[in-house]
Amino acid sequence: MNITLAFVKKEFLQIIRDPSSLIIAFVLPTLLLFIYAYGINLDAVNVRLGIKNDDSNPEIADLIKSFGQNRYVTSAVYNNQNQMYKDIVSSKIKGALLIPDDFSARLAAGKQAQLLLIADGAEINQVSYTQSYVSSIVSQWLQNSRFKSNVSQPAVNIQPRYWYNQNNNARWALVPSSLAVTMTLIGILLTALVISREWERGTMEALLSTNIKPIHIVLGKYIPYFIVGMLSLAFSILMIITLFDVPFRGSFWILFLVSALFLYASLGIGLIISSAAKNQFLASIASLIIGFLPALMMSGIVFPVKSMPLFFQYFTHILPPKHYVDFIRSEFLSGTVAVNVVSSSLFLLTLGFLFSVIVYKKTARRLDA
Amino acid sequence: MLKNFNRLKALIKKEFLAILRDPKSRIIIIFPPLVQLLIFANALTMEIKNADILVMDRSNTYESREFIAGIENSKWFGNVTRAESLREIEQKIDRQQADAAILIAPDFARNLKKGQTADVSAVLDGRVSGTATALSGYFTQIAQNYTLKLAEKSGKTAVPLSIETRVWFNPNAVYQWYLVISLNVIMALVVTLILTALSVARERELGTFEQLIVSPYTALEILTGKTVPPLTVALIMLSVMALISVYCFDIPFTGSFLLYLGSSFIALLSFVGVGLFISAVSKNQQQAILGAFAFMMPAILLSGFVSPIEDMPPFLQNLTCLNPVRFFINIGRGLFLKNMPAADVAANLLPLIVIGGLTLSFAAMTFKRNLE
Amino acid sequence: MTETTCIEIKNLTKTFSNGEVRAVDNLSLRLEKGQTVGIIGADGAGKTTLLRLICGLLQPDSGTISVCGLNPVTQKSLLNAKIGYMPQKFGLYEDLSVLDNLNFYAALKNVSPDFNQMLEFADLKRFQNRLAGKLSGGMKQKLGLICALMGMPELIVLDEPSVGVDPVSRRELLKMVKTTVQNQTTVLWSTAYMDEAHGFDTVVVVDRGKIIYQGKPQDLAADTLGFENKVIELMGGYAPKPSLVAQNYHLNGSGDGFAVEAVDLVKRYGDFYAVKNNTFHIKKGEIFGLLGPNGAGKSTSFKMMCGLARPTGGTARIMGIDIVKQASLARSHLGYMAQKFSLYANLSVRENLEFFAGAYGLKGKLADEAVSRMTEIFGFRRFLNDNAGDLPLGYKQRLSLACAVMHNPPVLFLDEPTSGVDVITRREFWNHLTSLAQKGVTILITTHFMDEAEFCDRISLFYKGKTIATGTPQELKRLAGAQSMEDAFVNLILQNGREIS
Repeated sequence: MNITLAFVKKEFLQIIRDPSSLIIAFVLPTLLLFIYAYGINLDAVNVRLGIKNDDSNPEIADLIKSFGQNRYVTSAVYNNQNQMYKDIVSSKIKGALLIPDDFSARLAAGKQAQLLLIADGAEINQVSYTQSYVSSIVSQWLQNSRFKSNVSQPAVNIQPRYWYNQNNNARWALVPSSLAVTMTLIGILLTALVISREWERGTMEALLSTNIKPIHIVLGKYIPYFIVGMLSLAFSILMIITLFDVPFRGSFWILFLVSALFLYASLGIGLIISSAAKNQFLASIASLIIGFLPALMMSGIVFPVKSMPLFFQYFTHILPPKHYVDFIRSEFLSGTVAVNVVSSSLFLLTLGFLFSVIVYKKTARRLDA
Repeated sequence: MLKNFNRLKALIKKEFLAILRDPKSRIIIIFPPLVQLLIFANALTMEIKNADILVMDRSNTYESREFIAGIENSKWFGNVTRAESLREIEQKIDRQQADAAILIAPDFARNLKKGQTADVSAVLDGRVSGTATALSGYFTQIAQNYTLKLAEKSGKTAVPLSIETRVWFNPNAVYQWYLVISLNVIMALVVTLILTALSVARERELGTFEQLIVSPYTALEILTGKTVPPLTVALIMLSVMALISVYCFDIPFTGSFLLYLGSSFIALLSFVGVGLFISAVSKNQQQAILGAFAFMMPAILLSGFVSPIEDMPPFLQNLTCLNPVRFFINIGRGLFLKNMPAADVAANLLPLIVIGGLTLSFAAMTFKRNLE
Repeated sequence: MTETTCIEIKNLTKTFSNGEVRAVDNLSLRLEKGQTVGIIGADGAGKTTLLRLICGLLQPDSGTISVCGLNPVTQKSLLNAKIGYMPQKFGLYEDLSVLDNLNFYAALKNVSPDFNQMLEFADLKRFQNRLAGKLSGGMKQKLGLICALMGMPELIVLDEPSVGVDPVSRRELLKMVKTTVQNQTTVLWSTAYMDEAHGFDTVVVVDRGKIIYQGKPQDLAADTLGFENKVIELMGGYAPKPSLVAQNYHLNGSGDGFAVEAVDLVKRYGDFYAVKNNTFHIKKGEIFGLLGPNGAGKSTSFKMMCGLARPTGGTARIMGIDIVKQASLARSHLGYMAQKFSLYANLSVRENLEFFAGAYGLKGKLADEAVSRMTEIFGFRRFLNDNAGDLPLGYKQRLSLACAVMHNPPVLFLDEPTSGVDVITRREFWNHLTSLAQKGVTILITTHFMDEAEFCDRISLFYKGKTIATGTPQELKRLAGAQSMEDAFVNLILQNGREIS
């Protein structure tokens, strides 16, 4: 016990001496939270649209005007079709709407009129937005135009109701779940180098010659970074609630309990890397490529897990951030959902325990084995 | 001159060895990025698929069942199951066992028969807001299709107006194309940055940088020595990934491959520049890797890969002008899919050249000046 | 095994690289309790491996070890509680303070954290809040030693504790050990200093993984020099041969004049002067020794001379070229060997040699020849494909020297080149250096071996950032009124008051 305490104290002193650990714990999450909150927009996308009108009917001028008034569309009217096409290639506009010369005449005659919309498929994300903006602007215009009499009423109208997040504010969902990536990053960054550094600097040899046991080294590495990580987490949660106005409807106790389990698992990944790699160079590359990228891409924050092929959906279960994302979104927006909290916690606990067993096994007892 | 070239060759060889000599690091630099490209390309999409839908049909008529059939037959959803009560819906959505619920009111068929619009409620899980938005769109479209179907039956002109959409450059809207092109760039960034950010910091921490300073190498030579190996590794990797993109993922390559290689070279130079810049200001490897992450995360998130740049606040939009990833992804998309003309490529290369030039010359300056 | 036996080793074998390298080869050894045992032997003879096996840090391939009645393989943690071990790299946390390090190791060893006596004895009390990384070499060693001595271990194992330590501090290290140990304490002390080994109760000479001598050092010879010669004889003998390094050395343009000039060099950190108004001129072909206790400012002077540290004032010139103004040109005349091993630890010996050949413009056949010549001269053949970082200490030094001389520079700056090198190799080193000087190579060197100082043409004694005496070895001895160089050193330092700022 004394030995563990001494080890913990030593790690703390090292953390304080090199400010980079504290920057990792407090500055990095702040930066990332701001980026997730302001840099990433997943609900309403602005679209720049080019319009080429061949129909001289004055009603059409209204249509063009209403494109200009929409808050999500920035429109530019072209006279030269080729120029418009070129601007799609150079990404100046993301879509082009062509209004044929017989458009209004056909509408007036009760015949089906056609518009042509060209969307930039190189940015496939935006295509569906472009489509739905154009179709809603056009149908609104139609309702108010003199061609209205020919329009039939929709038979079914969908009334969406967004639970837990009335306005379906994407930031509410994104910002808390971004913690999963941020904390994975912090957990790995803090610990990935700490054991490999002892090898590289020759202190491991001195440690192993004392009656220190692997369990002391393991605990001595887990505990201090766990404490730093929890402080960093508390700091981030505080920011989310105060600065980004995300409602918190759950229980703080449960939030911290599950967060602690998640941190336990994340630190485990970092420590596995650190104990397997005996120099910091290798540990750094490994933590980035093996530890971090999957967390960023496959935890379900940006790319939904349910849309993945089944095999990969199962695979995501070994990623602690996946379970944390599931948990934290609910905990913030809907409050504690007992069944889900239990299952997320069990997963995190199992992973964390598994990782720490590996860390323990990997912790050197001698220089050569 | 020849003598200098020889000593430069020795330095470059040494730097190659430093990266690739250890079999462990060789494996970890080369394989995981390629494997991850394959995994991510097959696993990731932003389209919402397989969502589980609950349906509560309180109308229970021929019409309502016909409407539900539209949902059941749609390819967008996973399981479509019946819910017996509101309580059930509440519970299942709460526990995320279902992603959305459709509630059909008892007066659904009656309203339709009267020629009025029938309202259908869709309950969506706002905790997963992206999915909710997409599902709401799907339901609206299903409702429109249903309207059309009814209109067709009654023999009316279905719609007075249709909008025909043509998706250029990716006619079948394959998400993978978009993803893979961006992933190529991101993987190259990750590999280049980590190799360069650590290179000087490692030598400084282990004391070998002194030896290098005492040698007759000029700052420019050290810079070249530190640049060539990671650049080569990343360039080869990018070419392999481009081949994988074309032959494994069937992504068309419409532009000039030579132009792509040339642009990759310049883009990688700017990545190397940023990495060496980080390395030059770091005292040890811990600081270097911190710097690499602190640059990489924003660079990936604010590159237009996750969400479009135009949607960022003006301040961040301006900031992305410093982000080499943004411009390289533009070039990638342009040359793969759009047959982008050289002039447009050049417009995207210009910021890359500026970023690379500034960071590289700063790094070079610190190499020899960075004495006590 | 009896009550009085401390270590009993039977038929011990330990191999590396899948059995290709036999570091310890069927070795048997028995040591009684209460003795101070010097472990000496050639570089790469297996001394460090043997010590690590004794401490349970490595697992033997075959054979048995019993230490303090325990088996290091199966009872490692019981055994480690009875051992104080100081590895070659000291095992200090350089980013922690002296006191932090002590507290940490005291807690690990379950010892009460009361080090006042030790600190005062080691003269470290004043530095107890300084970061270990900022201590001078000798002070680090003392700190490492205190950590190893903590808690009255039954067995103290010290792996080259006195490498790079000045004579004054070396005496203090020895005194620290002598006053701490009790009657029954056994001390294993590996060393390259023959005077040190000569003073121990027993010496064990290791050669190629085997023990070739065990007994009282006095039995070999009564005085240090005789002892050294006997040990050399045991290790295969040394006969001076014409230096192959010097023979193949191509020196462009010689002549008269100064090769190295330092004029009023000053290095100031805040209000602390690391180097004060240092001036010296070294003639071409001269061996110029820079002596002084650890922390006197030798290394700082060195760094300024080769342009690693910017002088606060004054100028330094190599072959007449200002090192600050025309750094690259000046450095091309320079071969530099740093005090701390600063070759690429994760590259092989061959790759390091090839890199440094190339770095100084050797190409093609010339480079190949240079590499194979160095391999022959310094005996790298068996290590060629090993990582430089895994070499025995003595071989690291050889490799550093090889890399410094490979490109035939007219000026050599060697910072403690012989630290940690075995006796024979030390003589070989000096054979090379004196032959090179005869050919016209100018050498600026630091050392802590006072017998080596005798080989210098001129010596500058450095203390507290200032030169306190300059002259030939004879002149300095006369000045101090001493017989040997070591006494001269100690006397002159003491005369100038032994307190380090």
